[in-house]
Amino acid sequence: MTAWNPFVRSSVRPHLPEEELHGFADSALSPAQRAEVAEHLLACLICRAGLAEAEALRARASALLELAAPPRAIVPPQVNRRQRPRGGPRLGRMAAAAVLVVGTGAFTLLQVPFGTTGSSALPPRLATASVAPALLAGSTQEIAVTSEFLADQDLARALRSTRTLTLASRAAMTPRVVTPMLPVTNVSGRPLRAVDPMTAVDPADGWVSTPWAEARRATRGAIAHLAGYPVGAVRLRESSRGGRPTAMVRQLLPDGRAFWVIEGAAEEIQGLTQLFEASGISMSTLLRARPDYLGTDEAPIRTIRMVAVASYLPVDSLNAMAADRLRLE
Amino acid sequence: MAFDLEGLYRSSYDAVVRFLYRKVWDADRAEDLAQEVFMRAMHHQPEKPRSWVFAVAANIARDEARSAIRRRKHLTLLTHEPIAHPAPLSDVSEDLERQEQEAEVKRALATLSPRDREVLLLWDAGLAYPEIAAQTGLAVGAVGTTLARARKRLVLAHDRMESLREEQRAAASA
Repeated sequence: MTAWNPFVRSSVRPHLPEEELHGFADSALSPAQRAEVAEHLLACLICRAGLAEAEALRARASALLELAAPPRAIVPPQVNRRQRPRGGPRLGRMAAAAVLVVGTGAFTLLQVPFGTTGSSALPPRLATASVAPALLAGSTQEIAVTSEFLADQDLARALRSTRTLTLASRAAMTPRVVTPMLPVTNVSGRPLRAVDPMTAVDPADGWVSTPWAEARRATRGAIAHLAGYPVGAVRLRESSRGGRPTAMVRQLLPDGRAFWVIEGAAEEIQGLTQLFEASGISMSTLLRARPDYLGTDEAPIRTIRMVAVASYLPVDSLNAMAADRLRLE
Repeated sequence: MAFDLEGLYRSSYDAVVRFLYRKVWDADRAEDLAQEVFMRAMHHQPEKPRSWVFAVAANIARDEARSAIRRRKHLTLLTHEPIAHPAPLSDVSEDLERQEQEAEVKRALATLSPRDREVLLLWDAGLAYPEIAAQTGLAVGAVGTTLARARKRLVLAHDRMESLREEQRAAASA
């Protein structure tokens, strides 16, 4: 009788079932399912909280299993192990667990690849209320970057050795209750649950987690950021029209709260603005960024690019920060 | 496609040992059994080597558990000699702590249903959902559900034990 209407779907299925969140966290969904889940997550705070919970659970279960591993670091005889198929997951999952709960240690880890400013200058805690869940939700991706960076470093070797594994796992276990979802109130007084928009953007949608140095190269040195704050992570997305990629840079204030600088072609920024608004994150006034020149040298087309600073902070503060510290290269 | 034992060995040995260790709870035994798994793989040259290796590992571990029960009857009268592990990095108290933690995880794992435990261990060994489904006979769609439940139970069981231990400690010190 009633025709199937794609727009009704979300009201028929109000929230994502737990197994889908775990499947999403495990990257085990089909592309179609994944896109559907990602779409729902964009719009639904409750399911984002559910995802954070699933990821925390996943990380803790892995950390626990890590404790029940053979006492020696296993090195297969003869074969010198250089790679493992899903080695990322092992180191990554374990380290992710560390990030979830440890605090200082994990924070240092996160700082390693970027290290714009000494992490010692930062308070020895993961973040304030507004960032903790964000880091929580994003931890897997962040660590993927970290462990890649560490691949050939001594630290990676140290991490693999039994002792460090034990210590790290133990550290990961110390706080037993993960309570990332502290209520945050934004300017309008509406209680919100903090989300990291970075983790809300879907890798399937073209957002690629990129190390800072790499991102500088990809944007030809023109990546917008606020000077003087350590960079936590960068996501880039190829622009459909060519030119420099759209960039999202997460930086940290000295008190550990995060803010995001987004820069890209005007129409790309429009989409992001909606995403931020949906998450209850305030944004500074859009400013003109460095334009891009596309097409041939004889007849270049000038595209307008915009930049904005977003965070769980009053708009006035964001505008002041942008005016004071914004660097377009 | 040629059967690549070395590649399989390199990519799965570690995970197979860990998988077996959580079934037999003896590092040396786990490594011996893993060797046997790969010996068999060399012989059989399976088509889907990764899934095959874990299926065989699960079988071997099951046989091992049966024979271990038989063996234990003989061993009860023998003195138990501690195995000297070359562990230059660890000191005694750390080892004890580690053992205690491991015992807790072991007990927490034991509270899971066999199917939940199997799915969790296979996931931790690095198998993908379809591979886990093929091995456990679950539908692919049910792997996520099982995994979600297994993770939750493991963490809950472990937390309960931890809080119990802390209570005991507090009682002992009081």
